[in-house]
Amino acid sequence: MFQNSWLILLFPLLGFVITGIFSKKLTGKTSGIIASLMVLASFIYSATLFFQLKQITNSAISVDLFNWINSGKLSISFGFLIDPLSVTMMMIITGVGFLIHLFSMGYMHHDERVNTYFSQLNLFVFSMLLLVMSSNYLLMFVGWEGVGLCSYLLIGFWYKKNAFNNAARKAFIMNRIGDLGFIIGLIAIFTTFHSLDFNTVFSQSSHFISGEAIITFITLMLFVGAIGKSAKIPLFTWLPDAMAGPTPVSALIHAATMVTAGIYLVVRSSSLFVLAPITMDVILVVGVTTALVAAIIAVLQNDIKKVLAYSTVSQLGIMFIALGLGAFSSSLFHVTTHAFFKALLFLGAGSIIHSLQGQQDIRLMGGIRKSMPITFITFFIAVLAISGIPPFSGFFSKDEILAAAFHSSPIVWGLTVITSMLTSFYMFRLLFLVFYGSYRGDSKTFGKIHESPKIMTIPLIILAILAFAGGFLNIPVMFGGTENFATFLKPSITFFNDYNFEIPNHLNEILLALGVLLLIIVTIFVSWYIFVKKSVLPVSDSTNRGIISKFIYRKFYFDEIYNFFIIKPYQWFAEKFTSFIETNIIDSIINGIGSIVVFVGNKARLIQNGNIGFYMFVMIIAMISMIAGIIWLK
Amino acid sequence: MAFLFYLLSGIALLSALMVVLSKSPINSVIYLIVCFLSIAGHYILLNAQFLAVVHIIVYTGAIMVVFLFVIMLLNLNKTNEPHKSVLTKFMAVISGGMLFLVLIAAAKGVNEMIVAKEFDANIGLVANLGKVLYTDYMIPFEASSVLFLSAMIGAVMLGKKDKK
Amino acid sequence: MFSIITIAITGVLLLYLGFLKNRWIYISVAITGLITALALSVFSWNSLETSFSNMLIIDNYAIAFNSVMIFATILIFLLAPHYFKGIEKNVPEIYALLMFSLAGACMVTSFDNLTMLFIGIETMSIPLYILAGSKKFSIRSNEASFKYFIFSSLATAIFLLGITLVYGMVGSFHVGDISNYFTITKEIPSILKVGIVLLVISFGFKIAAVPFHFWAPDVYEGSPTLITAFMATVVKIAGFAAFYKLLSTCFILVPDSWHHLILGLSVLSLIIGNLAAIKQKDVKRMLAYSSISHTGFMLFAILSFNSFSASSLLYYSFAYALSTIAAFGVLMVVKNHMSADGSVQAFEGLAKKNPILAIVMTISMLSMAGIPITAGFFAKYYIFVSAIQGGWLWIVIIGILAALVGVAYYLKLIIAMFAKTSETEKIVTSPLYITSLLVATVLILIAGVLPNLIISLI
Repeated sequence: MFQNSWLILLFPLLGFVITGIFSKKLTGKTSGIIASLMVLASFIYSATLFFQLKQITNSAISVDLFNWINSGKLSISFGFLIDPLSVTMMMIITGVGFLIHLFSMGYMHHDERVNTYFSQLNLFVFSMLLLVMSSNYLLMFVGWEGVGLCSYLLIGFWYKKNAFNNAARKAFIMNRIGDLGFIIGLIAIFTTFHSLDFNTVFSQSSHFISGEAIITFITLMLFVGAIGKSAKIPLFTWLPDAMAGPTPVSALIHAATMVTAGIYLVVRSSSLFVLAPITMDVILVVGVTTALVAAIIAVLQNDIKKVLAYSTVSQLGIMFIALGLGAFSSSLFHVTTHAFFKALLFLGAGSIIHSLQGQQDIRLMGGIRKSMPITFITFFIAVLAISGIPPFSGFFSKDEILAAAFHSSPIVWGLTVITSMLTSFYMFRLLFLVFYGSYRGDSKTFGKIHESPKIMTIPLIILAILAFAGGFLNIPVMFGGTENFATFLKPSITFFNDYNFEIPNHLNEILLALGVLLLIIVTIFVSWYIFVKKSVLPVSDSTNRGIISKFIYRKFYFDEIYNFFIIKPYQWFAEKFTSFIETNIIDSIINGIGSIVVFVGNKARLIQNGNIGFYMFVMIIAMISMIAGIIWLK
Repeated sequence: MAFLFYLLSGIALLSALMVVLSKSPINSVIYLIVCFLSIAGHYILLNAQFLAVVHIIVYTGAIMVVFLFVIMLLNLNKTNEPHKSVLTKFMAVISGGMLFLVLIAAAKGVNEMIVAKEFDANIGLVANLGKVLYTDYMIPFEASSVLFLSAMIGAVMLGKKDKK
Repeated sequence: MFSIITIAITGVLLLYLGFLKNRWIYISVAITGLITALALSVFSWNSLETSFSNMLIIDNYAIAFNSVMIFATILIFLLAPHYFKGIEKNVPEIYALLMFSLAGACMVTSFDNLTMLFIGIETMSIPLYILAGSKKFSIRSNEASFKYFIFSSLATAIFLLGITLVYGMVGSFHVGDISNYFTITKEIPSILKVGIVLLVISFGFKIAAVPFHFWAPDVYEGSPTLITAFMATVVKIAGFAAFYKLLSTCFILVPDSWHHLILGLSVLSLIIGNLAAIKQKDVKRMLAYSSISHTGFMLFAILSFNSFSASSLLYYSFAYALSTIAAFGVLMVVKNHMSADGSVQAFEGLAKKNPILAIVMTISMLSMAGIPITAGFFAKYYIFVSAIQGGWLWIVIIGILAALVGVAYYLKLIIAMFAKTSETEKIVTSPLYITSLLVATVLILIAGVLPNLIISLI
């Protein structure tokens, strides 16, 4: 069973090849069915692996298929590591992926390039699975780059709009910056451990003492990779722009799976990260800042997908807070529940956009809960889940992180609570503006608003059930649970030596949870008061905003800052290089002075272009300096 | 012998300089012939008669005559050298002078060095040269036939008049 | 040895076949000859052959590089019938000259004596002066031919002076004698150092390394595209193979006299090549600068001599040759089509006009940029690993930065191809042409997934 786990990768790859090659021949429906079935097959296989893995005690199985690269000191096998961590990720990817494939069959059926869409989506699932299944860093990097490429292709899927292409490019370039860190990290790992294999690296890591410089360097570089992929400050601006892609893509790639790759990387390398307290502090600081900043920005956004995008950035920040605290399994638990409810939110948004003929501005929505009851109910469940209302899944996962935060530092705890309050505020703001009140859009379209077809609502319902019940996977001890999820994951993760798995005083914890709950409920009430009772509407773009409001609305001017400090100087430099060196120096010397060196003699002038003289001059000067350097230096 | 060597070297250098300096192309070609002849003289000093003869026949005889033909037939014999700016000349002198200086500096102290191989006075004779060429250097010799063949094709291909 | 002879004889045969005036006969004879040569080359694997008083040494190193070059030539020949469609004049001569040049390239990789190296380089270069000018009525082509001739002659002069100085001190042209000299002699005379520097400089010309690259953009742009593809692949690979072999066999013991030069050439090539490529409008010129930047990467292998660098150089050459041929192949069609120019705009909407070409070009560009699952990724990876093992971490960081800059202009072309356009007229090509491009593309992917096939050869 484990030996054949490559089948999991094969299915989506087959789907990619079939739908890709026959994209001219197949109808959109057939290719959708093929693509979905392939992902379903992978899901079933992953689930079987999961149940098998639960039964055996030594729950990490390496599957080496063949010797992939072998040269000198470097020996890398093409192999998989099947352990609780990878199986969990595989189930999320294939499970949520399957539902999103189903949803896409309804959402994309109008599009003329639907076959290409499914083929790229399958390629994404393949790359993502490769990322989480691989047994060494290099193979993981291949998957890592693969998901980056698919994300680029799918963001720019509607490539006819230039802005979308720019968004795709932005995502790609920002990811490449992160990749640079990852590559440097890879090289550093190789020079330190002489291997890139997970098992070898992690078993050798016990020889290092905590806080050693090289380990800190490696983990910092890996974290830079995670920053790019998981959209953290300072590289987060690509994620909101990435909403240019089709909505199911945003649900799959930019909410449920790809952006969590950074978290997977950190959890997978936990035995390195626990040796680097400095890195952990950096992660914590970046996590807290990102969570808070993104939540503040989300409050004033008016595009339904942008709100969700910033909410994703903020939730990812919370996951990084958990990582920074060393609560790896809590972070992964939040990844899981977040995958459910955020995918649900995006698909719900997709359903609304689909029904409103592509309208995404929440100022032009409102009062559509009657016409779209299923979407409304499932969306409502997701909002409750993300806000952390018990017994919805978000409550459990967020509560664990809050408890861990309180345990280590009240400031982190406080900031996380503020983030949670902001989260529930803007999520309910979104809910109220979209579904309550009266319809504010074009009255002609109002009559056409309809509930989406079954193929789209069924995934919504299944995800809603998961968003509701996902939390029961890991009921904390204080509520009489056994923390199944954390216990299952435990073999894959290395914790800090003094990391306390259980908080001694359950009463305190319950009181804390209740306190936070109370604050959140008050926030929800405030949101209700503003947006339903008073029916306050977000102002239009043309009205003048106050300074702070403007500052937040323009996303803290991150894009403008990058534009000014990085893109502009870079373009300036490239521009000057061509215009100055190419045109000015070469041409002016050539045209102005004529041929410089007599060297070539009469013949050289017979050519129209006098450049040769100058070329020769430069080369001779280079020659002279090279000879002189070799004779006199050293 | 030493006197002859210095004399020939002097003539060679002087005529080479004149090739560049003289205004008329015809004069340049003539100086070039003188330069080649003095180099042939060097070959004779080294007891390499065959090389000397071949050098005179090929370079002085064939190539330079073709040069002269081309210049005369195309009527390139004009002495109006376009004026070059002072800066151009200055840079040319500087770069040429620097290269000269660097090479001189590198050659400094060559005299005191051990000679790697004793000079064999008979090596340049036709018999010995032929033996070496057709035994040790067989492959380069044969391979250069490919080189000359392609040069010939090129001359025909580029020289032939094609209709547009 | 037999493969070199086969190639030369095929060239002569092609000249005679010119009387038949049938382009399909030329091409089938040429391809048959090349395949025979490739087979002869491959079958002599592991049988070390030294010919005729140590002039040539055909070891696995030489065989591997020869095979890559012969294979690249086969792909180029497959593109030729379509390229020369409608042109009857001089086609067999052009084919023959390509053959002779290839024969020279094969000698260059397997030299064991500096005389042979010189003859090989000349045999390789002289046909190219003619080929570069083979579009007789194009002023650009004439200019390219002339410039190439001038700069190559300069390089040859420098090369000969270098050989002379080395011979004067060592007293032999033979590679083994030269390396022996350095084991015996402790104090190296400065004139010999100058000789080595001159050899390095002349190779700098051949492989178009900055600051000896000036000829490359002009010549690449002006020459007929098919010839440019040949120059950018076969000639460059031969130059690198010989350069690596020269330094690793003759002068490995005196790294002081060339190490810093290679370092300088490499860094300058990376920086200038990539920066100048960014704003190029003409794709051919852009590819020329990109080729210069690849020179910078390939010099890493020479910089870091160890057991691994030869195979990393081989892998890079293979990946580079495939991507370059694929890119030039697509460029040729786009340029010939509707008398479009070779600018980036001409590529707009290629995905609509001919999706296969667009895919080939995309994969080729991704490979040049070094994106995984293409061969270009492992090419860069191995060459970086080799450099790191040699202790050159900081230059690898420059290399990675340069590669990042490179992504920008490769991506520009990809985006242009998938951009919308008003004209949607289809571009048609011949099946043979597409075969060549697809073979190159598939091999890029195979080599990118299974690098072990090539990297473990030598």
